[in-house]
Amino acid sequence: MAWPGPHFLLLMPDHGLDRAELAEARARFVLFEFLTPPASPLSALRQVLITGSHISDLFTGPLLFSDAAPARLDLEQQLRAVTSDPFLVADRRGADSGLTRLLLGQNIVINPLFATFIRNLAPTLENEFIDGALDALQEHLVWKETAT
Amino acid sequence: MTRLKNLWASFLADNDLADTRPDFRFDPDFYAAQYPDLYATGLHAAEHYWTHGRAEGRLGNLYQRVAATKADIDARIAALVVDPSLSEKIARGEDGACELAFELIALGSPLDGQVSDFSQDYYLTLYPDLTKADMPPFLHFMLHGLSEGRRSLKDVRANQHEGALPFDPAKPTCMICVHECSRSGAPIVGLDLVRKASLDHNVVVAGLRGGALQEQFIEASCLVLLSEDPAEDMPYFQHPALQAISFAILNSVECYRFTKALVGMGIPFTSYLHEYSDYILPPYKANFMALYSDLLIFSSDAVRNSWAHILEDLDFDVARDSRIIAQRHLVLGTVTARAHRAARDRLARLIGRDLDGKRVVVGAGHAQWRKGTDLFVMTAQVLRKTDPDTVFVWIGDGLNHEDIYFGTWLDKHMREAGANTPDGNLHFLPAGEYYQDVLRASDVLFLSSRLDPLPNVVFDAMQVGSSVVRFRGASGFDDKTYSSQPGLHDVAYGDIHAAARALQDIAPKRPAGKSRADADLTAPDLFALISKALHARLSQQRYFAIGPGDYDVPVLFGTTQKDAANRVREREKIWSYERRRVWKSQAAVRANIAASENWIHRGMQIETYAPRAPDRPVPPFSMHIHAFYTDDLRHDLGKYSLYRQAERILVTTDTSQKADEISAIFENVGLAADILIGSNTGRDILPFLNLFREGPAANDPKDAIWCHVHQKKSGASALAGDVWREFLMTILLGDDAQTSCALDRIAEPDTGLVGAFDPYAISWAGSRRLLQGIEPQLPGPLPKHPILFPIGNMFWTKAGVVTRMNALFGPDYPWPNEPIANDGTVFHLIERLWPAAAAMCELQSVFLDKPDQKRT
Repeated sequence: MAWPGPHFLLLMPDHGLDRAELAEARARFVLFEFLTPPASPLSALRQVLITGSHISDLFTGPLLFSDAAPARLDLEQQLRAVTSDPFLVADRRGADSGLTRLLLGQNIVINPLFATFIRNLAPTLENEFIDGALDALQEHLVWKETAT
Repeated sequence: MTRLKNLWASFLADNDLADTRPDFRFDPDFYAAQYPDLYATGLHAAEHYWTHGRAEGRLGNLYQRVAATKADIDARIAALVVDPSLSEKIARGEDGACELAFELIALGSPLDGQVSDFSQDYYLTLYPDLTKADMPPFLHFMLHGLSEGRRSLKDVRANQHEGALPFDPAKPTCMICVHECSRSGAPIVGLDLVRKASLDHNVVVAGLRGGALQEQFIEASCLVLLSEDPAEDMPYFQHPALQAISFAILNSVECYRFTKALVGMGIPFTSYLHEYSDYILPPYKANFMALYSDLLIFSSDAVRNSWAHILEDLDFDVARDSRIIAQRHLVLGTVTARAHRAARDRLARLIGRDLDGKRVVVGAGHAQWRKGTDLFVMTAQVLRKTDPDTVFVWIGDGLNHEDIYFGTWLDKHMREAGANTPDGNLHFLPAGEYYQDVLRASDVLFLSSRLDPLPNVVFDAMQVGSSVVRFRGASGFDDKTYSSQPGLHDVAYGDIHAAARALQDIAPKRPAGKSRADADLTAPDLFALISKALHARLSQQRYFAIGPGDYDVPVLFGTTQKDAANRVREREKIWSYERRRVWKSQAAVRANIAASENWIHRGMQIETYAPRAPDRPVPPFSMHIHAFYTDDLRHDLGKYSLYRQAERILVTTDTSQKADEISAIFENVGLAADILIGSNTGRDILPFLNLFREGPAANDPKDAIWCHVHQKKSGASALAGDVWREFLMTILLGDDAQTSCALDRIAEPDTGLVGAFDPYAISWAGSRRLLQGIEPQLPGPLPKHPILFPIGNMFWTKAGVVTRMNALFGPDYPWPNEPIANDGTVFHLIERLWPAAAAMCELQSVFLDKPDQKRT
């Protein structure tokens, strides 16, 4: 199975892929090569979503950001999760509190304010500010009606 | 006053200043500067002002100081403010409103430009000398600039014209750029694009200049912006449509100035190009379009082919990043017998001769070399005696016997050809409303142009049933789409005799009972085709480079810190499309060399610069300085300590007066040099090559080490040229404290050339025109891109390499004399051939990378 929509591969400066490997990767992914390390994973995601904003179907379905290739079973679980909750915002952190995974449901991504929200994040958003950014995302883009 | 305070607070909502300046009437920084003695006592400034200072008549902010001496300050402020809430309060005469406005503007960017027609950033961009003035820019403007007539945003915004169509946020928004709004070819195509686009888009029209069609552009758009400097002005226009632009179309290469603005704003764009590269001067216009357009769309394959060398230099992916979209369909129509007769009668009256039984050959356009008006005249001359039944008529403006570059000579030729005489066969008409009748009356259009992409007159003439004779290789009608079209005939380029024969062979026009000419069968929906092609290209992009790379050198933007982010953007765009202008990194250069199989590249290396060990023995070496200019020589001899270690120094110059001056300079710094006087031919490099022909280096052993430098200057960009020269000299020689490792590197037995690595990936450029001539002399083909060569023609080499370079040209080569072109001469070619000469000697070419050395 594959995640719906376009697939991006983020290459960090020390990726070490040779020409042939890059060509092979390009056949499967849209490549984003960072020439200098981004301030944080969320900062990298921000840059990628802005830079690739003209790619077809980018803002049409759920979004999965992962710092490693997810296993098939894991992928199915993530897809089930966003299918059952289109407003899902779920993240996983690494040892340095940086994002290792971010899962956004379709209703977050197709929200007309999503692209603007991403653009308005600080370009050099460091790990310590990720909580605040995700809180803001929940606050502004999760448009569920809540019982009072 | 509370309302004004609230307004102040609302403007400062996202500003840290709100905490330190809760009231616009008091500025603690101003107070501290104005009354330093008070601060020395350690008092609380705000408290002092509000409790004592104000009552004592002390000034609380800059406005109060200015108002105390400038009686009309409020009137000046009122005229400057554009923010509606502020304007309203000022108009009502609300006490403190002007003070509030003044203090807001004085805060600088971006608030100043939002609330008023003044921007500190814009002002300093226009008048950079004011950065050194001991006065805030806004204060300078209010006290001096206004009365001196200095520009402000008012001048920019006067060129913002609200369009007749409303901005609808629900629609996509595009920008269509035209170089001017004149009633000429490209702007007419631009207007058609705008009209089509406005059916389902908000359209912002951006032009460099206005013109006769300006009102029509306004009618068909929601906003028209005019600016000769869009990158500077664009941020200061204010309209909701500007935030919504999702793509742009640049119509014609003359729109190249928009590339900078669009790259800065991150707006993708396509360029619709009609111009042959041959006459795009300076060439950087074409380079900018090709480097930065997400997609290039050409009106014909013939035009695209003329760009091939530019695209190859930039490593532009033609198949992926370009398209052909014809601006019109070619349709052979007819004209009714009645219309034909009426048109013939009218033309006969216009030129004052009977046209019964005559073959009418028409030419059209502005009289000039490019349109081949002279070839039209000569073709008429060819047929004048042999075919009295053929009459030539040229319609167009531009005849000017005072134009020494063309008109004077055309005028002479026209007189000799009997033009505009009753018994002649050649007539000229100025452009006029009878244009269609002239075409209807004609049997054949002779397109005598030397280069003419897809002139409208061909479409117009064929639409009314006229045949067309044209030169092969001179227009977009070479494209297969057109070339098989009945009625379109071609002859060899510039062959007027063949053209004359072809014209004679054309059968007279046969009018039809019913005209097909009235229906506009020729215009496709260009906007739909172009925008669809651009979106398809954008959605297919598979690679993006993100980040500044290793070399922060400018292409479109300047070298200031203000432009740093835009410089990154411009490089990211080049690299994302894998085009070549600035190297990403030393590793990228190395990868390019490794990937090439060319024999010249096999011997290339890039290494990091290092100073040479001071205790290392100095190998014997000679230096050549070409000193056409002498004014920096004394400085150089002092700055670069390596001069003192040279075994011999040879200086070439072109006059005995300069030789005496050079001799005195050397004597003054305690150095000796042999000075040779020669003609001013071959810039710096021919004097160097000549040393090895019959000069003092002719008998040097082939491994003798030479360093060649010159005192060249660039008058047009003296400051940047000086920085660049220092960049090259430092890498090659070191400085006063250390010497460059270049000397050690050239001393190695397998090295034949050492040059400075330049972060710009410089191509064959104009030299490409000479490659065919030199390639047979070489042991293998020349590469598509040189990758590296000693840019600036300063380098270390060995005598054997110079001898090999001399052999490439032979002893009898006809070197061109000055003045020569800025690029594309044999001397520019030699600069690029040094690695080839080294490779022919089986020696390596080494380029030293010194990233910390300022390049621009």
